[in-house]
Amino acid sequence: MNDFEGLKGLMPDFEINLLSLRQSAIEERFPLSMTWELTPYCNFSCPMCYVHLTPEMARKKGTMLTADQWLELGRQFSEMGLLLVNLTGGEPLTRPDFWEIYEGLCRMGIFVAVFTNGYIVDEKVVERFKEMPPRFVKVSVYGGCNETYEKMCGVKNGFTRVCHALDLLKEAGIPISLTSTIVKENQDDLPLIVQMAKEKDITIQTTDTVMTTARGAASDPANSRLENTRVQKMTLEDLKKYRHEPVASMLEECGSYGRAASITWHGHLQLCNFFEHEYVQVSSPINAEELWKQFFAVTDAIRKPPECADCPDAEFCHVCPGALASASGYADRLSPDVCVDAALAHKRYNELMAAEAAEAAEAAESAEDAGTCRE
Amino acid sequence: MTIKIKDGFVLRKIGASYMAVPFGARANEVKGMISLSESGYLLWKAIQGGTDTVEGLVEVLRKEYDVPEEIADRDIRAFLDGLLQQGVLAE
Ligand code: SF4
Ligand code: SF4
Repeated sequence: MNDFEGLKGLMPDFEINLLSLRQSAIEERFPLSMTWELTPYCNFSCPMCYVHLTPEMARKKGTMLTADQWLELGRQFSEMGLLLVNLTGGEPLTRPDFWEIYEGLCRMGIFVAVFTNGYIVDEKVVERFKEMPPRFVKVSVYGGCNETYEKMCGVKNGFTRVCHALDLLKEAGIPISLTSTIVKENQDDLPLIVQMAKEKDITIQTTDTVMTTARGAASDPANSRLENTRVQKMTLEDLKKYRHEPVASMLEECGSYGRAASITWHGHLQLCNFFEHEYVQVSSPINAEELWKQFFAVTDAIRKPPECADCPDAEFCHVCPGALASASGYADRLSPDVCVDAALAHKRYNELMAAEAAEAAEAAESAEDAGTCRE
Repeated sequence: MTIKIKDGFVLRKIGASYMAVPFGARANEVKGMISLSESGYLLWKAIQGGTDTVEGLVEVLRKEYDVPEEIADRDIRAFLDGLLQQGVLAE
């Protein structure tokens, strides 16, 4: 017989703390959240996309999981604690059986978020979202005018259509957020994009960090990437916080490890979408417990690249296995571009420290001078 | 009054947490999820399983917990009140 915890414990409080769930998921290693890449296909063809494949390339790489397989994964992983699923792609809405998967997951008590480019979000789509609301819809914005959409994504009237989609979603009361990856092809549009978001009163996250591709996609992210300016803008205070003891394993740099994972369109269960080689293959009959166990075995085995051992910039390095995987194809192999930020940060730190020391010396000197004057 | 929980909730246990997650039309009424205690979870499950009277629920609770009948009755009524206020119970 259990002790009864009393009246208060019975009251619904309508606020569950996701943070505490995240914490317990990491401690107990259960799959609280997952990103599912439903398809490698997309109605756009963007230069920095690392997923989108042509049908011929996709055929060579694997077979798409079926709706039944996704739903079985949902059933079994939800038994283990799966609460949040992000459906992405490619463009997930291009799957003819998208709604079967989406609605099926919602009915399991999973909060589903949908990542889309918004181009095919029309009245019908919004109507279905209204009937079965998602946790949120995240729309990637590629430009601030139709011309940029045409140049970047190869579609006509892209901006007009996406704006219309946003209006429809907003009217329907669906939570939306925007994200925009700024690359060479659309950098001049940034003010237009931000202005649109402001006018529609939707939060937007812009990023200029494009992971280089390793997943054999048709696009060319390395060429589209802008020089990362984040480190160059850091103050000495920022850099002091940025500096840390070199990590024993790069998994320490990953905030998701232990509670989250991704499944690719061809059924690779892996830490995140960037991995190419470190994965467990999902196959029928599905056994999620076993997959989850193997996933940890594979991921825990990821070692730091040997070069890191005598790296002079290690204290300024925040490279995670996903960044390595996306740059070199392997989560434990170096590619020179991942080290750029650490070297830059280290150099800037030394310069700012030297400048600070010089300033202090100067101040001391002038204080002395002032002292002389007073005499 | 017979006690019934509206359609559109999935009862879940995640780690050490218990909760009811709304979907579909219910998700428009109840934002987020309802967190429950272990005993709240037990009662919710019993109601979804067809136990539709306070007396029945008292029995369910007392089978699992060491609690005097009057306290169980009082707490269950308070719990049901809470659910009613949040629009979880079918009228
Ligand atoms: S900067 Fe490069 S070599 Fe140095 S620790 Fe980081 S990943 Fe390793
Ligand atoms: S990109 Fe890095 S930090 Fe993000 S999930 Fe992958 S490994 Fe973790």
